[in-house]
Amino acid sequence: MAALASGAAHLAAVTITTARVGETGGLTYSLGGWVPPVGIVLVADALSVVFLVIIAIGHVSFLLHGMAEEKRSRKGIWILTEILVAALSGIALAGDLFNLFVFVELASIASVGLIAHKQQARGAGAGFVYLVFASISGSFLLIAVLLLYSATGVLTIAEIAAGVAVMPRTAYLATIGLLLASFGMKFGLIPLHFWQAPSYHAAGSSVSALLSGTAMKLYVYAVVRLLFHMMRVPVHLPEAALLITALGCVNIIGGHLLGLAERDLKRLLAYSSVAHAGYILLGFGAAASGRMVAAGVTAGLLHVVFHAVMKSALFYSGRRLIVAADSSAIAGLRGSARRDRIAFCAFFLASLAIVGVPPASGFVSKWRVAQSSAAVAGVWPVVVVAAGTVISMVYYARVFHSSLREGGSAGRDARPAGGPWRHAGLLTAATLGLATLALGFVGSNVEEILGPAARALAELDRYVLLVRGGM
Amino acid sequence: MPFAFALPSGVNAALLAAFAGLGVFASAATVHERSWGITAAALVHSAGGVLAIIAADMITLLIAWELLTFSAYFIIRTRSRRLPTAASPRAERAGVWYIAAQISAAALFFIAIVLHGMRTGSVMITVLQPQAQGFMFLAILIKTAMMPLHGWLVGGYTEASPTGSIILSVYATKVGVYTAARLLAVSPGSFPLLSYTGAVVAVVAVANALLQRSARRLLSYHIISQVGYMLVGVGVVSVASNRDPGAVAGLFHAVNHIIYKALLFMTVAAVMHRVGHDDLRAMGGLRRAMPLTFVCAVIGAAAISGVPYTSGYASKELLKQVADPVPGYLLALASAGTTLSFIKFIYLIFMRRPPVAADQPARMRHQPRSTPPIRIAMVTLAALSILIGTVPHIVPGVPAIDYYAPSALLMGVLPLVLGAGIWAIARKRIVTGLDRHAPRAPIRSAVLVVTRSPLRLLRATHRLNPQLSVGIAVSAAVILTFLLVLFA
Repeated sequence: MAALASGAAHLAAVTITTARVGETGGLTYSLGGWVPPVGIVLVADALSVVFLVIIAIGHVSFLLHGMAEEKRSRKGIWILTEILVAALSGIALAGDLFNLFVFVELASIASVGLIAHKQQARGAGAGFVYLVFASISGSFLLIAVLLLYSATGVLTIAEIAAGVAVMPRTAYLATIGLLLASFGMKFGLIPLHFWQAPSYHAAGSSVSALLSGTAMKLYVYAVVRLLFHMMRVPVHLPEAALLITALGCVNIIGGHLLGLAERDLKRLLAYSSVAHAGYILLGFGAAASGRMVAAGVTAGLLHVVFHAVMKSALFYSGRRLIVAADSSAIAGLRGSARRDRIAFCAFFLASLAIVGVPPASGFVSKWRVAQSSAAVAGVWPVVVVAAGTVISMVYYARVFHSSLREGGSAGRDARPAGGPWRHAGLLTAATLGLATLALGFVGSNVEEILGPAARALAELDRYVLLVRGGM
Repeated sequence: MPFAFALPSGVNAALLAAFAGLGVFASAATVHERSWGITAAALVHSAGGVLAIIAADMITLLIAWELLTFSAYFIIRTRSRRLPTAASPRAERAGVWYIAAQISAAALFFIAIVLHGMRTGSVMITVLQPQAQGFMFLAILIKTAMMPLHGWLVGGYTEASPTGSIILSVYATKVGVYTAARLLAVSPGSFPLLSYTGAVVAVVAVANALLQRSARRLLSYHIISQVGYMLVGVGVVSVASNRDPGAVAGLFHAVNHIIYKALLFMTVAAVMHRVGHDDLRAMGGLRRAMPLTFVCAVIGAAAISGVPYTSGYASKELLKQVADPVPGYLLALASAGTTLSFIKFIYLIFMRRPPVAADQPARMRHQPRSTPPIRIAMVTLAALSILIGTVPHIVPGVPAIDYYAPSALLMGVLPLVLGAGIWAIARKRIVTGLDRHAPRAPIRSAVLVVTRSPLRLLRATHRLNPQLSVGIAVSAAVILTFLLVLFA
């Protein structure tokens, strides 16, 4: 019940914020009345609101799913989830670098707990690896903050934005590299992605749904916000577009090939996340060129939103298949489709969507990403997107192939909890699965809804004006 | 996303009618397998075919391609409850390869659409921009199963249930031909590349068909060959509209081919329901036991070989009128091979004295006769084949030329005589030669060989111990930063 209450409260808070931002075009809140650059400021513009909504949806579906599925013994998971969600919301709202750093570290600690919580030996190992990665990532971020602070003397993002123009070129470039490396470790930039597969494997599917569906998006948000609004990359370094596009292509091909080579469903989904970080990068990379800013940003945001839904649907429905077959190895999924038909249908829909089969949602966003990227970098990104489609279809087809096979032993009972909530988990998976298809039909409407957020990101001065106006 | 539809006219309307009609017939036939999954998938499959024809924009056309792909996956892997065959790993693998091939075609189509859309700002169906043509050409080669990219077709159609093969034979490749007619105009140096590809494949596929010992593999290779004929027509000229003579000839052949090939697959399904397998070497003597099936099979074989007064003759005649001389000769050669192959087909199944082993057919669950849906469908399709052959221009959009001028008749009959002559001379060799041929899948083996060790290596690099992976990541991050700094 406490979980439900927290979910409802979260939804209510996000709804109010969204409505207020929709009315005013952006909110700022100076903590304790201390205005920036001395005080701490929280900023909610249309872009942060999109990510707040993603967090809320991820949070609520995690809670609904967990009400039915989690064993009563795993109480710690709820506390850690709430800490993680709070920290992620902090990342979405932080208006200065120091708080951003604190929230990122907080999210890391909560993630380590969530990863290590389920299984003793493997969980501890994976959690420790993530801890090491997170602390290295944190130190990179810290160095970037130091460079910026020594150059500009402030920590508020909007104030730094005014100062980067006079920053030494070397420091400027180093900062961009450090930021990319720091957050790249978090969202799985190849070759900084090594922690992902073991972590998701150890963490269990529902935690992975939260980490991959929601948390990953916030790290992308952070780096995009910093590169666009603080470093003003489209103005000062449009050449970075090609770098980001190239990194995105490597991620797409590498992630999908790793998925193809993988024999475990949870690890496969982890590598698919790596690949999809690449699609998001392609969209924002096109925007960074300063030419296709609006189109690229919209494409990237669209893929962020759709991937959040698709990946959550895959993890939740995949979890049911794994439970039905009592094995997370792909070859061991025999008979799971027959034992849990609805979960298989949800998985089928969600994987078609994530592969990019029209008219499902993944197709719309890939289409937009390919279009905007082609305008900036030519035909190659389009070929990469198409090749990714083929490779990912093959590995999802292998999952269908083995889960549709007859036989296999009956797995554990999929519903340890019982009680009035016992269908909530299935309902979550099925709803998300259907949503992956339905969102494709309203793709253009979603684009419209994302319009203000895209403008908030694309028109670089708007953010600075918002924060300064609040002084 | 745009979803636009347009009712087709001319020969496209005939194609739509063929798709819709065969959807009804073939889906009704699948009821015989007593597995509702096949029937449901068959209905979705035919809906995909219909959607492809009424689509007015490329995205809707791509959706139709995908509908066909995923319904076919379930058609291929759903077992018949009639035949005593258990779930076979081969059918499951064939399904995965089918999806892999089709999604590759769809991905190439996707690239073409993006490039075209970027240049023109529109995705309505029209001839693609030159930059997109190369990708579309490759997509069409896969979608129409031009050899050596035909493994998905032969594997999938042979491993499906008997009536499942009927429905599969109707749509996928013909949608490819239709798409080529609407979007493609490949002529590097004004050389009709697609036309020549089609002609060469028509001959090579027939040669392969002659070696097959499974009835459905034989028919599958003939699909590839006949689709080659269609591409000869479709590829003749850069296509502007369905009024174009080349496209009309190609699509007219597609309509006829849909009818007689479904008819032939129905006769094979009827035979399979009786004897329980489709191995030509163990069949024979079914003429007396299945007279109706026999007559229908003969009509279908006559139509595909191009006997005068059958539909195949009419569309081949029209193709000859539009084709360049070289593809024209190749098609005549292919026709001779087709005749030969179908004499073999009729002889082995219906005419000859049954081999000893075939006297005890694999045990069937009480269904000596084919069911009414298949019988009605067979008779209707056979009648249609003859009707179209007699009055070709009742098909909308097909010109009313003189199909039976003496010179045309002579040129049409020549390949038939050639084929029959070879059969008379070499019958023994052809029949006994069946035992020696072992089917191969070159592309599939190549893909497996090329991908296996890199994938194994990739998997190995991701089972590293944690220290090493942290080390790699940190050094990569540092290098990334330094590269950026050096960039200054």
